[in-house]
Amino acid sequence: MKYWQYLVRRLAGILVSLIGLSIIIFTTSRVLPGNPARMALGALASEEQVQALAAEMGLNKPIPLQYLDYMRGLLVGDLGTSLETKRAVSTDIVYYLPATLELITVSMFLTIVIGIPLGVIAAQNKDGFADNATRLVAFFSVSVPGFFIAIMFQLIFGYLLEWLPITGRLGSEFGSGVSRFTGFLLVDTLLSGNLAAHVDAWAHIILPALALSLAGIGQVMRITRSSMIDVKDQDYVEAERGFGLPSWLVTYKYTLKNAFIPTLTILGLLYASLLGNAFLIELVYSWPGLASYGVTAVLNNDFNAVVGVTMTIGVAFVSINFLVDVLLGRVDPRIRLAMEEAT
Amino acid sequence: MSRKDITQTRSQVGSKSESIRARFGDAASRRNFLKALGTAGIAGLAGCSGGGESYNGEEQTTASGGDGENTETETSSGGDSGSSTLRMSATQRFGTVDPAKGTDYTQVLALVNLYDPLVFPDTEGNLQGHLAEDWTVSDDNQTYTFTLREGATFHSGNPVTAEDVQFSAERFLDINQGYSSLLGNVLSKENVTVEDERTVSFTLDRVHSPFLATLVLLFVVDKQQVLDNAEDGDFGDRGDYGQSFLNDNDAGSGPYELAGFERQAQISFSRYADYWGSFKDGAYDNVVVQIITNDPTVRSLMKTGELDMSSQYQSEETYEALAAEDDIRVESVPTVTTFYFKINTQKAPTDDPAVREAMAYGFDYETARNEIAPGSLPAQGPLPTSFGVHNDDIVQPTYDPEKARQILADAGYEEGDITVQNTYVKDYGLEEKMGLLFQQNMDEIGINVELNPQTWGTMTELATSVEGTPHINQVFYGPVYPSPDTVFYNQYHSEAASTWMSMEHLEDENVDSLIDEARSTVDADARAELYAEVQERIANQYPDLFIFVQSKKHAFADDVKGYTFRPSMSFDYWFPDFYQE
Repeated sequence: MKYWQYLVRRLAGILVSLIGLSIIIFTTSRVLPGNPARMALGALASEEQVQALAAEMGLNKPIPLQYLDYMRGLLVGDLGTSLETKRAVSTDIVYYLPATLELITVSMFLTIVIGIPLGVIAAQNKDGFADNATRLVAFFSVSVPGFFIAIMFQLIFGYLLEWLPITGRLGSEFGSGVSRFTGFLLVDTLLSGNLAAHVDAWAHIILPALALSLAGIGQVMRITRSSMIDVKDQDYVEAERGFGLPSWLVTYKYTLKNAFIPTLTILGLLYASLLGNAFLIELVYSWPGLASYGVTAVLNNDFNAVVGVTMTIGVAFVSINFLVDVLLGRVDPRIRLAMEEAT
Repeated sequence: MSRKDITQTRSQVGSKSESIRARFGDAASRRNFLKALGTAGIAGLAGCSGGGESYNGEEQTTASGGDGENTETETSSGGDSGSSTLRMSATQRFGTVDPAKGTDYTQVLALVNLYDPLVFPDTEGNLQGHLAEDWTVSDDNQTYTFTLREGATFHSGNPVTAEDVQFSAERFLDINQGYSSLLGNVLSKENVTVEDERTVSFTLDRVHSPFLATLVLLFVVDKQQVLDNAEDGDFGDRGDYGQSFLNDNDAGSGPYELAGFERQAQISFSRYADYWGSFKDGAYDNVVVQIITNDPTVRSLMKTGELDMSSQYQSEETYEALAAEDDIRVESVPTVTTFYFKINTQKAPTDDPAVREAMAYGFDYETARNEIAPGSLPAQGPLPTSFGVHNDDIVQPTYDPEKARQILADAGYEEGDITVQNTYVKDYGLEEKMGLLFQQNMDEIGINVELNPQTWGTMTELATSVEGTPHINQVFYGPVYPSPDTVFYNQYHSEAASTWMSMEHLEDENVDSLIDEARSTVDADARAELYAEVQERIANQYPDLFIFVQSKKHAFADDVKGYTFRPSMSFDYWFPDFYQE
């Protein structure tokens, strides 16, 4: 089978899993106790009001029919209306997603620029002081829950040292000077030509991004270390050393490139899982992103919003996995071959 | 370093100890920074790029012409001209700011400041003229005629007229969400009549004494502006009644205008310069309400001077820690919200009044109040004691296990005969502790208690049927409009049954008729007697354990003054009351 055929099959598989996910999430959100219409209308709503809204939302229909209605809407990009914000869920998602993407992208960047070099250093100094030190750091960062680290960061850097802001994306004083173009504040502050706001945006994102990236840093560090050690002992590396190539060139060009494959896989998975992990971090830092939107939706039985957010994260998850597969196929022909054989 | 020191440090540009935030965060430093960059150009750039939405508001600049412009000038001048800003926190986001839809405490908080109702509650819950200068009531007590005050204008500049009031009532009733059932039960929209430009009358279907009190929730919108911004919708030539517009924008005449609305993060208000009413000296030019759901953040922000007032929902530990800080004080204010153990009076074994009475005498109220909810006040019957019509003769059961055991024995129960379920909101520490105390207390008198924590959504659903409602349900309930009617009707009247407020399923004809009679009684003294009787009648049946009346706490920066409690939801967050000392 050709590589592209493999990819098409993968895509079909993705579609099936997304439909499966939508059925599960949709059904769960509908059978959860608590009448969404009642929750939306608030304390003093009369029974008639509740019935009227329920009928308007189609809640009186059997769940399979509701699901079909929902899917019909989905095809034209209509995810229904949020009961709480009273806006189209798609509008809300488009509004809040950039904040989350920005947060996890910065986290990802930190994961890479901190995790990989530390992994390389650890591998170079196998069983030495640096290796043990990074092992300790990795152990700590993987095992301590992210939200705890987030709160500790707030206490240390916000409360005790007062270096950085600990809530929101931007100081309220900058709000009117920054126009929303892309929703990515780090970009929009520059497009608005407001450098002070740009610096403020960085100040706001550092703590949550770092808190979110720690677990990933630990993983990337360990994976890089072990694959570096594996590759380092390969014959061709020995040979390069034997040719007298400088050690930094051997390490960073030849060894790291080949050792990078497992790391790339992990990075792909990490990026997707960061979307999920962002939930608690966003709550701790009052970060106005998709995750905190989703949490509030769950708490308020805002079922259209719950399905919308879950589906968005699902789509992101499978797309990133797919992308990683494609990338791996490009980086390493052996993997592409294996993919073709496997199907 | 105290809060004040920190604030001072912040303003000292160039100090080595200052933070990144301090360097760029305050106005003076920002100006210096910009100057250093030769920023005439940058500032200009920032100015002309305001075509889209801005980060202090979602669709602010795109949606409304007049409003948006106004807002932008307000806020951009805000930071630099030494204007004052009150920064407070809230624990739940502001879902909507549409006056026909808002119901919870954050939504009403926004509404009372953006919009004006005809009448407004004072600290005692008495109604004062607000947009209405005065009013008359017809001889048959069914027609209320209001004269609007002169000179009141909407934020758009349009004058507030009788037509706007009529339109607001029609919109409220047509959309039929939020608190509209309060009016809809007694008023048809055809019976709201414009007499002249400043006179509007409401003719009710029947005499309804709480009517004026419920009017505090009818917020008057700018008809012209709403219609100008209406989109296609279900309401004929009124389109969507401006629903999508008012969801993100304001069209009110209130003391503050919406300056920014970022649902997940914060909402900000700026003072309306042409407001008809008065502000306290030193009233705030801007108010920013940040959504902060966790206590450590509130603590940090209060300490570093980035927050001036906390929400009422911080943990006891947080209030203690904040109170220990210099320059921060914690105020505890008695409210009219009661914490009830609502007992299902129609499901065995709690359908037996003797069982309910035994429970009422078997519970240790003092421990509950002093240890679990410190600062709260004793309850006495269904109505909080601060209401003028509270019946002081009601016997509030006290902790007396001996008596409780005796009541059960007299009714023929033996130890272990009775098992009841106690439901409370999952993961809510206070209610969990209450449940454990109740379990222990009941164990002493031979009643088994199964604790059954649930989500709030589940509890509201359970309440819709007698069979589904657990035996004991822990619920806070407080008035949404300043009248005892809100306490009695929603909780104990059969018509209002099957909601979380009425988990007693009391359905007592006498109680119903007393509440109905009070509703149709205009004479205040006669009504007070009816209310006294209904309290007694309810208390004698032990449908609830009346555990305590809540005191709410806020932490304030020392220079924030003026917080004024009013016995109606969120009317105590009326910003013109607040001032900086």
